Amino acid sequence: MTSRLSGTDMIAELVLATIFGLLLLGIHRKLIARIQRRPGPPVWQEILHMLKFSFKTTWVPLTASRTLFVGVVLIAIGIWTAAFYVLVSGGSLLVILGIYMLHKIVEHGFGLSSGSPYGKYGGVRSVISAASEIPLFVSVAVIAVYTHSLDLSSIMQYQQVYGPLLFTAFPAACAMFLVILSKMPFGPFSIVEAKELVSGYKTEHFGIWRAGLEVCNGLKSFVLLAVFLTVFIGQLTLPWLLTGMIILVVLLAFSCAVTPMMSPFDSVTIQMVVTGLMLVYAMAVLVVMHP
Amino acid sequence: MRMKKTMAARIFCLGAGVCMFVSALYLAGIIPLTLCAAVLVPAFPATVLALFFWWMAGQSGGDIPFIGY
Amino acid sequence: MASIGGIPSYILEFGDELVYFTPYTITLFLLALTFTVLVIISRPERQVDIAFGGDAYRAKEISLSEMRFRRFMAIACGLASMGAMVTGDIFNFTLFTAMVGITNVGIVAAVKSPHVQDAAYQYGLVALSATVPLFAGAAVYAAATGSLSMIELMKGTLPAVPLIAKAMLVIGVVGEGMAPFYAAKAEMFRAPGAPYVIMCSLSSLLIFLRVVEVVLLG
Repeated sequence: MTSRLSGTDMIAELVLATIFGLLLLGIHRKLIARIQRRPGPPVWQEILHMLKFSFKTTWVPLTASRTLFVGVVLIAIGIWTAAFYVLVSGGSLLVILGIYMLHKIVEHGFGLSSGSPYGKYGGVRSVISAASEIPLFVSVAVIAVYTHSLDLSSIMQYQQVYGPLLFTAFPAACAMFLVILSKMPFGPFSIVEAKELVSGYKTEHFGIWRAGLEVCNGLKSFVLLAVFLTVFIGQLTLPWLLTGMIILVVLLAFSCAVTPMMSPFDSVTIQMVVTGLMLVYAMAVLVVMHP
Repeated sequence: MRMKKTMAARIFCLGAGVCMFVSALYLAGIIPLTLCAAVLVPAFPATVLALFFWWMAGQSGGDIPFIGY
Repeated sequence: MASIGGIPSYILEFGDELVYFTPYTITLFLLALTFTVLVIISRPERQVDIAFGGDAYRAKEISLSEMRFRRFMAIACGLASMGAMVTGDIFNFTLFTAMVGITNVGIVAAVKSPHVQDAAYQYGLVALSATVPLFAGAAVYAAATGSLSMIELMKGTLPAVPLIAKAMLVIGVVGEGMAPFYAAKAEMFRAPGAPYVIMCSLSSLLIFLRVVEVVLLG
């Protein structure tokens, strides 16, 4: 990753990553629609969404906590910018994991800062679905057991020697896929933005604030999918990286299209079961690798 | 409190300038990536929001409300 | 495995107590700092409640004295989290973690809502019980290795830390509000005052992220 991107401008690649991430979300949406035999929006719809919201009249609701309401949008883009540079520099997977978990706090901030009950329940559901993060920790622990390091660059080196971790640590890859699935829109675990809560935590962020959230979503999708490919496949050239991301999005779209959105209770139960299975798997790996 | 169009434009130009400058310094090998990222992480969100404010800040009032079909 | 959070770039010594920054801890520290600043400068939102079965709604106001107390608790919570992020001493880490638990109860204790008070009480019980394995974990660290310094543990010259010590430390931190003990915490989120309530969840997330680094050290 480092050598591939060092030739281009730092800020240009950030903007391109955001736009490509939004395009991926558009492809995700289009595919879900086609699987469900609907025409669906064009694939660039999410990019248009971002632009559309950025042209809308904007203010801060009267009941909102103004500083937090605005500040959380900046933090949302900021943390994923940081994650992007950690990815580019081949830095620690632990930092990206930390940022992924802090996205949860951003969701709380979005939901609670406006004073709207819909946003608040989105935030509360976001706390409840914190169980989805534990499989991520377990899969990271399994990777650490195999590679003896959590630097993305060392993980890539390990895979050049021993082959992709996708095959050696397949259950960990499944767990991480589930974690990404829980962050995709229209998925079975997207209880934080369920339609009975209007738009969940993002209900009250309109206009420019929503456009900023779309930028964050684009960057987040790009970073998460790129991290998945880097950790489980290894170093890829840019065309293969982008192709791999599109393949992942197709898989995610199929998972989202054929499963209904679960109730919050079922969603948390399934995530807890997966966590339990992953813990058993991690113990087994630990016993086999370090008897 | 409304943000003025010129103010948003200034913040955007400043932010974009800082981002460009820092990434140019990094490409020239003068500063390490961590320092470059440390500047870009706060500068990029502010620049993006300022850009949106700049092109959206209308001189007229609010939207036309939705009045039904 | 020594440099799981990166190589310490800066070590600040206060006698045998020390504070050190790795790329990982500095990221977490800056996040804690950002949210603490947000707590200081932002005012609470006015939460809107809808009356079921009708279209009536009302906005809850937070009184000034309540706001002051909760802001104080939230800032204390932010400071404790920041301390837990950068400390280089296992015992100090456990102290900061325990303080995070106490301040989390404090943040919502002033809210005049029976649901929130119940949730805070239940959370307080879990957090209190969790301090037993937390401090016991630190004690086993000291007994087995003879040192509580993370820098010493990082060098790899000390005897190996027993797995039970690491497990107890993790259980102690998980009890401060991570899955599966977060149910009471989700209930606490009903309280108005977004900037303060967010500190509850941020602090437990941050100390959990830090304990991952701590247990991978020795």
